[in-house]
Amino acid sequence: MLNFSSKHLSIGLYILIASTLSPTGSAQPISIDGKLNKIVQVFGLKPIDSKEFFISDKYLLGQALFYDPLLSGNRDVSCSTCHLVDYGTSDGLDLSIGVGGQGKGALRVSISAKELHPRNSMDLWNRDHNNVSSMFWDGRIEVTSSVTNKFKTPLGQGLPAGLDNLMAAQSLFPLITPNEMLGYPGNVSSIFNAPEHTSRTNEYAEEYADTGVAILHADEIFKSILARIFGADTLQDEESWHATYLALFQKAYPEAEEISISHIANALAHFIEVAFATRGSKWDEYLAGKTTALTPISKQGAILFYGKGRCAVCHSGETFSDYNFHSIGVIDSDWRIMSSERDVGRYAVTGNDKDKYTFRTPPLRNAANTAPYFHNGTVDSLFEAVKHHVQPLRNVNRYHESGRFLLNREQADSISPLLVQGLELNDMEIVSILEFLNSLSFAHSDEELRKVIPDKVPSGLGFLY
Amino acid sequence: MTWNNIMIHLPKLNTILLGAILFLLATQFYLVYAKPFFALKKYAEIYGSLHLDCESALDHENLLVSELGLSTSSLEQLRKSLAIEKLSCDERSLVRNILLSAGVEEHQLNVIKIDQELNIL
Repeated sequence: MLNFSSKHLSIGLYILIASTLSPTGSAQPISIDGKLNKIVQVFGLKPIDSKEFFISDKYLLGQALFYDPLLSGNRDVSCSTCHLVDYGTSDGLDLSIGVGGQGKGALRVSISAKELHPRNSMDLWNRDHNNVSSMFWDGRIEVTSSVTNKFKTPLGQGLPAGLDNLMAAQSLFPLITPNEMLGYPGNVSSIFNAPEHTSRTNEYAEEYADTGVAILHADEIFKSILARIFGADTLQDEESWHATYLALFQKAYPEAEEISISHIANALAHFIEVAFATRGSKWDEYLAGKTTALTPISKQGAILFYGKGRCAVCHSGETFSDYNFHSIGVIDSDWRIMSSERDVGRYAVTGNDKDKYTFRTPPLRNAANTAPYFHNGTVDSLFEAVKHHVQPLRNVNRYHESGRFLLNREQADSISPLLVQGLELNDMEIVSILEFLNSLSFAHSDEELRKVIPDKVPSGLGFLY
Repeated sequence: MTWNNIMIHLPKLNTILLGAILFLLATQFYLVYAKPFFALKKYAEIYGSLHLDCESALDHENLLVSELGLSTSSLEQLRKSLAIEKLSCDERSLVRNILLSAGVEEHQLNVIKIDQELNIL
């Protein structure tokens, strides 16, 4: 009898102790997916629309133009020189090297550049997204009305008519910028080119020789570009690539009565939009409902990104940018500090004091592949780039080796008050955010990405990719 | 039932009473000592860290009050970020309820909070 009771007592005690080990029953703190669900609701997040990869005639014309150095004055630089597939559509350099450079990507060096390009090459992902309201680090190309395709650009009223979108408007500017693709009066093409491209005068640059200010002669330069490509100028009608480009043009624009620079810009923009659209990232998969698409660290990073890190205040929307302008206390490149020619950023466009030293928020999709970072590429790793946001004042009152301040007083004062308030993120939390940023990268293979690169271009010139 | 019958079943009754008393003692031990102990062991650290996160989120709400000269859209985004940051307060409440319902005393929770706050000083 006693044995029987002991047995029951033991069972009772065992149940008590076992339940003690789980004192909460079913109640648990909010799960990580629960928090992410809340984020999705609060921020209204949804996967980015996946643009179909569709090769049209317009795409083929745009592809040829994008990779063909024929568009550059000295026949040595194409759009792809600074927007390389191998470098996440950027170029791996802190400051881009257009004309006068040699080599590819991060190994490209300036051989005979008259002046340095002042900014880091921006990536080209998702530039057709409706959120994209400005181009360049200082936003000097802006949409003023997306309904009527009105743009504000440095060309003012001189902007060619018939541009399809902001990307098309933007694509005209490297063509008329001397240190990007245009080159300088008196330049000739390399003697190492194929015979038809050897030692040829840079007729584009000659168009602005009298004033020395290329943008004042944009119209003449555009005409010159059309003449070289399509042979509109009778002198060059016999060039071998004319027929190829004409055929590409007629297929792309069967209704067009005459060729204009807007057709070129629109084709380039179309190629960029189709070729460099983000298709499928782990983050988009997660938003589409696949909860296993993200690792627990990435999920933690997303929670920090949208919450405590407050990254989403500026890096908002599907492309992770508000396309607005902020100063985060990035130090200038050495040459600027030494020459006291600080980069005033947006101020150069608007003239408003509040815009001094502000730069456009960069979108973050594929950011993991577009090092170095910031408007002048002064930060090599994404970890350091994120960390800089946590310690934006770290360069204040510090000296450059030249004896000048790394940040002058105005630059220090311009830093966004949101950052100056201080973010409390430790290194482990930054690593989680990096994991999240990695989940924004293209999910597809290099091979798939490389299908945007043509085997050759109509001019027969060599090109980088 | 006669007196004799009672005397016959007395040993059995003793055993039942002993069992009941032991059960009550064990239950009391479980409720008063074991359950709070294990609950604290499991949640004290989480509670402390949620407390800090929540307090810091509440502090950050002042950012909205001061506005910082942000644009309307940035302020809207900041409001959303702070809402997410303040999830830690909901979580803290949840864990607090778990601990209190497990029998942890209020003063023990205060000790955890103070410990955490002192740790970051």
